[in-house]
Amino acid sequence: MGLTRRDFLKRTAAAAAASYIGLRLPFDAPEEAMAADVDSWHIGSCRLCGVGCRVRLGVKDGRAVAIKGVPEARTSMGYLCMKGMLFYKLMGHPERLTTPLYRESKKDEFREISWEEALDIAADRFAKAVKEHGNDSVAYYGSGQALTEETYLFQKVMRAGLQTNNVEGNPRLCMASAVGGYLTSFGADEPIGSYADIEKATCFFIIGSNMAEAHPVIFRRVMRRKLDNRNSVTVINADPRISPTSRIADIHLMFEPGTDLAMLNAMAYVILDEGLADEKFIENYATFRIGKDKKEVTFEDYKEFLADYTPEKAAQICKGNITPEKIRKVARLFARSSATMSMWTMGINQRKRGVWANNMIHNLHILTGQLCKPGADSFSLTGQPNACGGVREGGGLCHILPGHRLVKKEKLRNQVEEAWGVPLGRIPPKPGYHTMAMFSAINQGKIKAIWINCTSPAQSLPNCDLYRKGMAREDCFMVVTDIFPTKTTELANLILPTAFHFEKTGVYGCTERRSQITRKAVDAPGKAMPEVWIVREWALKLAQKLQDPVIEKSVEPFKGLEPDYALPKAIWDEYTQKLTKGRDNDLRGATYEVLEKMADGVQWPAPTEEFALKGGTYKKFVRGIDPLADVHAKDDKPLQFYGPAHPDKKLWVWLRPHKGPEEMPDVQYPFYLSTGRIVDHWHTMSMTGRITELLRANPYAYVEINPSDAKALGIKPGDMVLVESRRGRNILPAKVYEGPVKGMVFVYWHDMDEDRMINRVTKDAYDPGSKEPEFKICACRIEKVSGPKPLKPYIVRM
Amino acid sequence: MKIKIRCFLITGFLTALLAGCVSGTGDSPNTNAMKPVSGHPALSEQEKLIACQDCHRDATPDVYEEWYESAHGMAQVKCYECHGTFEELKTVPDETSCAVCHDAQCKQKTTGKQCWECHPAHKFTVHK
Amino acid sequence: MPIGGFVVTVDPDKVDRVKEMLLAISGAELHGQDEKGNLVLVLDAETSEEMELMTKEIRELPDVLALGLVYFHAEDEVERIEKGEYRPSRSFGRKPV
Repeated sequence: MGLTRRDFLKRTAAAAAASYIGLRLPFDAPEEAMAADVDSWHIGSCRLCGVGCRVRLGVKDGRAVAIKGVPEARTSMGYLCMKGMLFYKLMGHPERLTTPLYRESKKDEFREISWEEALDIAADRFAKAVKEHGNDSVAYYGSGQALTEETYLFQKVMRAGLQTNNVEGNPRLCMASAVGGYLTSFGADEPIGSYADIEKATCFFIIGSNMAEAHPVIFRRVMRRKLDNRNSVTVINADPRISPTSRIADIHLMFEPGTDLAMLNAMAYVILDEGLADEKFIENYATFRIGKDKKEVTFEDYKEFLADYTPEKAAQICKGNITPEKIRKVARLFARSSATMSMWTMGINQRKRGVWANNMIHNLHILTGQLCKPGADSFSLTGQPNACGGVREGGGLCHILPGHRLVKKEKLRNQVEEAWGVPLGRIPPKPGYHTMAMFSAINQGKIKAIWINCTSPAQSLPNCDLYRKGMAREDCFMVVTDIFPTKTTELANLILPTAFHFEKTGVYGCTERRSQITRKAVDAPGKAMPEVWIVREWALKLAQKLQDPVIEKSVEPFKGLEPDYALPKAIWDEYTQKLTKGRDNDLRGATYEVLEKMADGVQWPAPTEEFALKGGTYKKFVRGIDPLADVHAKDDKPLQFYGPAHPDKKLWVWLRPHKGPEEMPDVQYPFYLSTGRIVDHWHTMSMTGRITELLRANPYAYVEINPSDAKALGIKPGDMVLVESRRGRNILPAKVYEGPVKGMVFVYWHDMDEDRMINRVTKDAYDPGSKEPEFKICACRIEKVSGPKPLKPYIVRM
Repeated sequence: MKIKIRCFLITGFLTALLAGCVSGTGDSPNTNAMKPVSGHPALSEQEKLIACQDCHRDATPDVYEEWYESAHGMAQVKCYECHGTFEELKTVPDETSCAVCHDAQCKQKTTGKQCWECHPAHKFTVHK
Repeated sequence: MPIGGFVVTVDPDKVDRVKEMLLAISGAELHGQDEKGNLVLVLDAETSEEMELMTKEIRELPDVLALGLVYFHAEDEVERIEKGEYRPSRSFGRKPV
């Protein structure tokens, strides 16, 4: 009414200013000035990495509109990274999958179908495969992002229902080596200590981790610790690449990829050679082991073994900036500090000898007694929000059952069968296919139906072209449950739309043994449903089609429950009360009631609600702190290493030789190729690529090249560069940067564009122990193909 | 350890230059109805794919340095976290973006002043 | 012609004096105030450079404790720059040397 455009703008300006000082103006404030209003805040976990930050989601008119950190959370202390503060924008995203989609042939177009029809088709194809090709012709491939309730129910239906251990998940690609390391060194999976050790540590040994980008909120705590105690806290960063994490480092150890095993053994050499070991700790708590049969040897044998790893010899192997003196210096800092905390991720795990690398870090902590005291720990960081809670603890891998039980042990299988009320012997004794074997089996036509949940192996498997061929086979029926189209939905027969985080209820267990609940706060779009409902309904149909009452039995306790809260709660109750009882990850105290009272969940072991309400166990194995250390005490020593994998209840120092990567550079492929992550994106970018702010911050992958290598090859910043291995090729823009060590190039892992999808180039060699692939190292050649070119980001759309 | 940023700089220049060329032939900024209220120069679709700091390292070097050397710079808290991205860019951020991480402090402050009046913008050291 | 919304914080005892001085500036409008000495100010200027000069002037007024920009709308300035009708003396956001 008579208001000119300029007047309107002035009113907007005035209203914006007034809102800052809480002043109401006589005219109505335009909407944009009042953006932060919400109806209610809902506490939950962040959806993205494994740190386990707690957030409050702001909901207005049934829509997620804002997010903020939870200051009382002991993980994140109120801080969020950029991905964390923006992920809520995915909830109302227009590209969400909202209805089941089906095509009989992978060459056809998808058509929309009803849930009834979709579940019928899924049950039919799995039943058909079982009848015609046997139980091991079907498989489940899950995710460290699925809720514990989801992973647990999927594996229960697969094992008890369909009688196959073909249950795997993408954590195999990221932390299987850490599991192997913890089990073989400490006898029990998952870290002994907690994030709380960060504020007590005086020496940080960060190796094979760019935590500033991959775990920004934990990095903030380490950074704060360093910046507030510049002189008394030392940060050592060991990595073939200078990364943003290196900015807080006092010492940067830069070696050629794959040579760190020699360096770690040399550090052990120095510790023993210079009398820096904690002899009493070793005598009380450690034994020495060698070989596949875990043969016990003596301390003297170990010393003799290490004689081959003098710092002089190791420096020759490591190259880069490594000198014998540097190794000695770092070993002394590590051993002498009042509390040393090691932290690592994929740089150690994604290796041909990832378990050995883990063992060698643990060795240093055992030798120096840098364990089980405040600030001292050997701490592996996890990449996904529920790799620990759901997959490691919930039985999400082919060789493990819920509650850290091994498939191959009959006694443990029987415990699970009893808890489930299914006939003894129902769970097959043989572990299923591990991830790389599973996708190889698809290539060979051995798997006729696979269910892929919440992950995109078509992009995330190493040497992915090879495995995409298998996934494209017409004789392998593929169901994919997800929230967005991905490289993997492109190869599916049946796409089922699922509810996203905060659109369903469930528990995530983060890096530090901490389980935290997220309750439903908004409705899922369209016909998207929670996975627990999908699995239950599918299992009921399977039971009919296969005429097998035991399949029905596997979901019997959950029949008829509403899927948003009662159903996941019943699943969680069964899992925790029946299957973690008497196990090292005892979660019986962490009921939904308790978890809902806690801002930041519960750390296991937590056998009772009373104990869980205090937060649980900050440090395992310490009497007086860990209730199970008292329960399992075998003597009066203050530490009790009761882990299920070590019958002698001791820590094991391993004699592990140095071993290089599977593929070394040669004349034809003279460079090392390593891959990694960037702060703005996560995994295969199907989520972060759909958030404008994050996409624009890093719209496409590039190849990082050391300036001296770039000069020798005539490559200038922005030039388009071919990166080629024996398996495949990418063409990416160059970033010339003093980051990667000379002779190595580095490419971000997230890009979906066929030209920039680096897993077409990486190698699918894997650790014989953990079966985790060596994403971090292979050989490649690089060559300039043109000057700079304008590029477009690429995200898979329907 | 301070990372050498010179090579980054060159990349930044080049990308900016490249994007400039493209904008002439590709998406014309004139036909683009989206303009930020902030007064930021119009950007082509291609230019919008340049990370803020890649241009601002040159356009506002003081601000860039202050940020890069700050706790925010070290902990990878980037421009868009407070200022948003092009279409809804805020020259002066909402305090709600501070509150995402610093909710308690935002509630505690009694002066009625905005955060950056006491904690210098981009550095955010303890007090001015 | 850009428009900006600001909060001016002044010594609460001197509010009236400051208000008079602000209203004397051409293109300045006051839209409200609170008891703590915060004023809601809207500036309407020919160019952003001119607005920057105005804010500098206001910051230097006696008894003005702080001036915070909360909202800024460049309006047609960007178009004018694009059409070549107006050329700012320095690129956007760069501080005066």
